Amino acid sequence: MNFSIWNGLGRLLLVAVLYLWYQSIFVLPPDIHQGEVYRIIYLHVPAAFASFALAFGLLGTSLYGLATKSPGSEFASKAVAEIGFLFTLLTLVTGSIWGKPTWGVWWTWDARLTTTFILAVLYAGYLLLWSSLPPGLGRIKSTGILGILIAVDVPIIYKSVTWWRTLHQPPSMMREGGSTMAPEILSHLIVSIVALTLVSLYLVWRRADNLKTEWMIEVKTLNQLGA
Amino acid sequence: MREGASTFSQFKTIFRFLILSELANKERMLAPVMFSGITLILLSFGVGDLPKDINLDFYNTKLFVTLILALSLFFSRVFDLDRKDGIHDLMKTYNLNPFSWFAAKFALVFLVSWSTCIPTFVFAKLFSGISGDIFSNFWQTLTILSATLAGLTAMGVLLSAIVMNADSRALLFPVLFFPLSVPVLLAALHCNDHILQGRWKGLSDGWLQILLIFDVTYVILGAILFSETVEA
Repeated sequence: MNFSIWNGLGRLLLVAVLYLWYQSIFVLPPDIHQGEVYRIIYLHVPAAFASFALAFGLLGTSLYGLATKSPGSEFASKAVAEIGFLFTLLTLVTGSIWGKPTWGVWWTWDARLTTTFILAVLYAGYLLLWSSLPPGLGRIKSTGILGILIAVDVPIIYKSVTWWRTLHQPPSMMREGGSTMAPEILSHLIVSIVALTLVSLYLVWRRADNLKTEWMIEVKTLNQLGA
Repeated sequence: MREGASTFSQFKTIFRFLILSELANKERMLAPVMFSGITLILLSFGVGDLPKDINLDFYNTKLFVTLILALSLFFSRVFDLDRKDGIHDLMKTYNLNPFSWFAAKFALVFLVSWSTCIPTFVFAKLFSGISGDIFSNFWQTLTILSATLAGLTAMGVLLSAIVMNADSRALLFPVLFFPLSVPVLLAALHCNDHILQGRWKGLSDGWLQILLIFDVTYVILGAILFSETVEA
């Protein structure tokens, strides 16, 4: 019963995201300065928000793992890191697609781009560490510490555009004196952020569940072989 | 070690023990120095003579990038001796305070890092043909280098402990160390740039604060979380 409720929630989220993308591409007006290309922000900004939020999620699961030493926490942490990595890549790719017509290049060593790339490397490093350690308490603790260190990196990424002279525009949503965006763009962007963040949480939940099932099958098979 | 010894006496004993074992393996200290010398020669030879303003920027970048590469060589092997001789397991059986263990390891690595840092600094200055006394702005440079080394050492020791039991630790260490060292490295680069330009007072613009914030963060995280790696 629970299974079908969660499946239904997944389908609902999918429909909501498709509806939002339809609105983003076909219904909302083009930007005065950037024209049609700006529409990618409805995917780029929510993906970036989700990737940062997941870094804090990793901090949460890491702290929980270190405090409780629960085996479930390492599956949750790995799921968060995998989906976080995926969303960071999505952020980089969509940013690159937007950068080509706007800045004239696919990639530049801009502060925000570089620090986001670093976040992707850290997620990848976390997954590599997870895979190269034997299961158990040692892995929960080692990956837990790394999860905390990764979360420390996120404020730097967020503040990078204000600390360094950079090509990337400064924050336009959360800034002193209010947002610089048109109200209809801002409201649609906020809804897109909420929707994609919910999608990322849903994916994390499903992936953690898969990892747990995989582990249970492995244990059961080993027990049968032992018996 | 005496049961119930104070944290400080535990620190002193472990530190003395670590120093002796480090001195018995001098190649561990020499390898990063040789690495930094070769890297600086290759970089300087490859780039050749540069205009004065670019040369100063290049010198600064070259100094810190070489330093971080050379230090990563040393940091990645911080626990090698402990593993090889089974000291790590032996120390775990004593009722040691993990903080004194971290503090001793941190102090040792911080001191040994200077044996890489000083030659790198001298080589970089010599090979770049930067005019001026090598000891000009001595105290300012010493402050920045000390702050840089403190942050990198705390993080290096903690990361080295994390990857100690990983199958591919030689590969994993740089993958994790370089991205995490970026804030410290960038702040150090900017601070040293201010010093080279003779604008020490301009450091109030935030870079020194960023450097110190990350130092404090990494040292505190190291001191708190090291116990978890020891018990793992």
